[in-house]
Amino acid sequence: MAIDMSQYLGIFVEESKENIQSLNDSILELESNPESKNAVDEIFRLMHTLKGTSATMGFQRMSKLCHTLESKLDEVRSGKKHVDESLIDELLSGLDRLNEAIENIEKGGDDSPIEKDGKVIDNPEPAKQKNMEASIPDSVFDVAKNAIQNGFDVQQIIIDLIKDATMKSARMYIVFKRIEEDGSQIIYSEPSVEDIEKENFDRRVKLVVITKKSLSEMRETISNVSEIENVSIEKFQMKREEKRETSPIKAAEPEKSDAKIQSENEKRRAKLAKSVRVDVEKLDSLMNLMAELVISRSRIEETLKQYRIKEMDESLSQLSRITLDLQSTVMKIRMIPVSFVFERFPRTVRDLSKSMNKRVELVIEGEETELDRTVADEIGEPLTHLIRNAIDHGIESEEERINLGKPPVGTIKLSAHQEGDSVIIEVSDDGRGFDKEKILKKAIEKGLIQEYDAAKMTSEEIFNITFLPGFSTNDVSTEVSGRGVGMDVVKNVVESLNGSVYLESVEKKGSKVTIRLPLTLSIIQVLLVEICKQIYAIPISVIDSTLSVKAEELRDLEGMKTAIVRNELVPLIDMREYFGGNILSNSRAELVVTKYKGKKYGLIVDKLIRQQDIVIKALGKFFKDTKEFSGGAILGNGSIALIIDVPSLVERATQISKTALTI
Amino acid sequence: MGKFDKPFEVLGVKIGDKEYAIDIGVIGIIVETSEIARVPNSKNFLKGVMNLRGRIVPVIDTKRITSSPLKESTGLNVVVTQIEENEVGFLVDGVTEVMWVQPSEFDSTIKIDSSNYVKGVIMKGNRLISMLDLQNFVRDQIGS
Repeated sequence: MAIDMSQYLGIFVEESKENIQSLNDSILELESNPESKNAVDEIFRLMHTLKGTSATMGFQRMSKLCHTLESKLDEVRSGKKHVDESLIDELLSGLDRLNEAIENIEKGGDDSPIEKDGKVIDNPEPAKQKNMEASIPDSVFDVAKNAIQNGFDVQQIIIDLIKDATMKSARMYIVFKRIEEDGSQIIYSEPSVEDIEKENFDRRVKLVVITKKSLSEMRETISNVSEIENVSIEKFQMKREEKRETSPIKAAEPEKSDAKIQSENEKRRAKLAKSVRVDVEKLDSLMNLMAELVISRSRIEETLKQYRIKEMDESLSQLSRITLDLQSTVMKIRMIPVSFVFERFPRTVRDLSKSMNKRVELVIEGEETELDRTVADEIGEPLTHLIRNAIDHGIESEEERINLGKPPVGTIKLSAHQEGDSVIIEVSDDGRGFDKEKILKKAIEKGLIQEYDAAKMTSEEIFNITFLPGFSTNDVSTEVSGRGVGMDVVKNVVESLNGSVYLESVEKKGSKVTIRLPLTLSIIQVLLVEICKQIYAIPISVIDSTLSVKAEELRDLEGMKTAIVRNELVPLIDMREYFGGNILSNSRAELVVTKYKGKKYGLIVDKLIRQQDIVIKALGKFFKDTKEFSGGAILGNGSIALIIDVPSLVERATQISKTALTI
Repeated sequence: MGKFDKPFEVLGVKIGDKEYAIDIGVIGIIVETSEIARVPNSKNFLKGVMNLRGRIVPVIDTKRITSSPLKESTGLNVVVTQIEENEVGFLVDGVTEVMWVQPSEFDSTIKIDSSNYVKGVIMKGNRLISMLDLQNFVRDQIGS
């Protein structure tokens, strides 16, 4: 009646990953605070859970490794051992191997990666009785259970032969024979009977026996055999079987589990019941359906508007409300806290700074900030690049820092916060900063820029060079951030997510990379406008106001059109001109006032149409150089509206007017 | 010329007043589109984007990638191709026929169109048809 464990494999992998991550956190906590009893207890508890679940799922190597690590901690708990660096390293490397095993299992393999590096995973202590059950196959429990129901007794016998016993297999043969002579039955032996016959065992043999004898009668039967040093007999523990039936995940937990662990388990189970794990793919398809629904709704709205059916108004507005609610709920489901990405970095920083002999402290802020799952999945790698760069190129060595009068320990700050429809992630360090001269020199060397351009470049432009492919400022490429690992990777990923990245740096003081990402990838509110007979969409999030001004109120100021909006001089971008269409001579101009980096910019358009929810679709790789658009949307009538990316538009348009001036 | 030692199937299209051929293997569907949204400030061979069953598909003006006189297109036929995960539409002036080409009918050393994306000539009786190399075009544009 073996239970099919495969259905629990997904849960097992997920849960183990969570446990490994928590272990990671706790071990790092223990490192920074070696006296923390809480951390030790927490690690012990997690390791224990992992041991139990992996044994249940049949991953003995994992279970054994957990056990080894657990017993190390046990020594700490009992005061036999102190927390030191070697212990932490040992725990972390063990954790890495567990992680590899889990990753392999996830790919459909088993926990064999643990053995690959040939390290000891065996339990250093002599195996205790209670650990025996981990290796006993399920069928033995089944048989034992039946036997008990039929009025038999099931005993667990451990026989130790004396040291240097001769004819070990013969001795055991006698033992077997004696036991079975009286109608008892051996249902399990470890090592197996074949191994015993081949004398393929050390001194200890474990047996599970079905019998009608009492424990003392059994002892008498066996201890008569010569060359036996010790016999221990006890009732066979059926615990595992019972437990497995209530919870397949928590089975195989040795009886030792104290009250505390028990209650933790209860808590976990309660939590599990309230939340449901959902396949990301399902969420994606839900999101797509949602998007279709939004499009259909707009289509219905548009069609019905032509007929002006009064009776429809109410139900239509109700439909709008429901879709809106549904939309925000679906969106929220997809959101995960950014800690999901950040939690790996304490470890990264620890390992890297150690391997580079630098002292670095990582400060994390705003890890509760939420962002779309897809964005979160993608952003990990670029952030790792940035953090590596900061440790490798940014933070100075300890002596250098002391000489500069800086605190000996460098600081890397990783922070996140929400700003309107965007999530801002910043990676800053207090290291040496970017050296402009060095960047320019290298850029000229590599032919990325011309020497005569270099003189008139602004700091921002210079820093932007670092985002070009194949650029690396370090003279010597290190193992950590070798030549291939460039800022261009960061830029590419961020831009593929419709985000943007800026680098600020002050020499000798440090640098800061700011990544701006959209909160969600798919649905946004826009204002539809008409420019040269084509419809465009401007995200509401960047719009300050809209207004209509008389043509004569527009002024030319230093080559740029401007208008006064609420007592403020606002530069204008004539979209009709910018998009290369004909400018109809109108007596009035429609302005959409947008904000960018704290400043206002007015866009002149032909007509304001209406506000609408749209589903963003990528324009594809052919348009990767056309930064003015962040995507396209399909409108209710099937036509396409391009979504204007105001930051890029402003950047480009002001650039053009600047160059127009200098020429 | 290993690749062309077997007969292959192509779609004949009209671009301007000349005939061209597209490898049938890359063609998904041919649609007549009413509306192509222009994308300002994009590369000049990009006619714009169109809505293909809810997907946004770029449309390439084939006149700009062949040496054809730049007259407005008369038709609105878009040959939608699937090239390396990319759905790309090619606007042509008309579609002629699907035909089999024998190796003897194809010559990759002659070009009657100097475009980089023409890889030879198909000779069918007195018809001379330039074979387009759209895979190469897409690869060039997306790779750069």
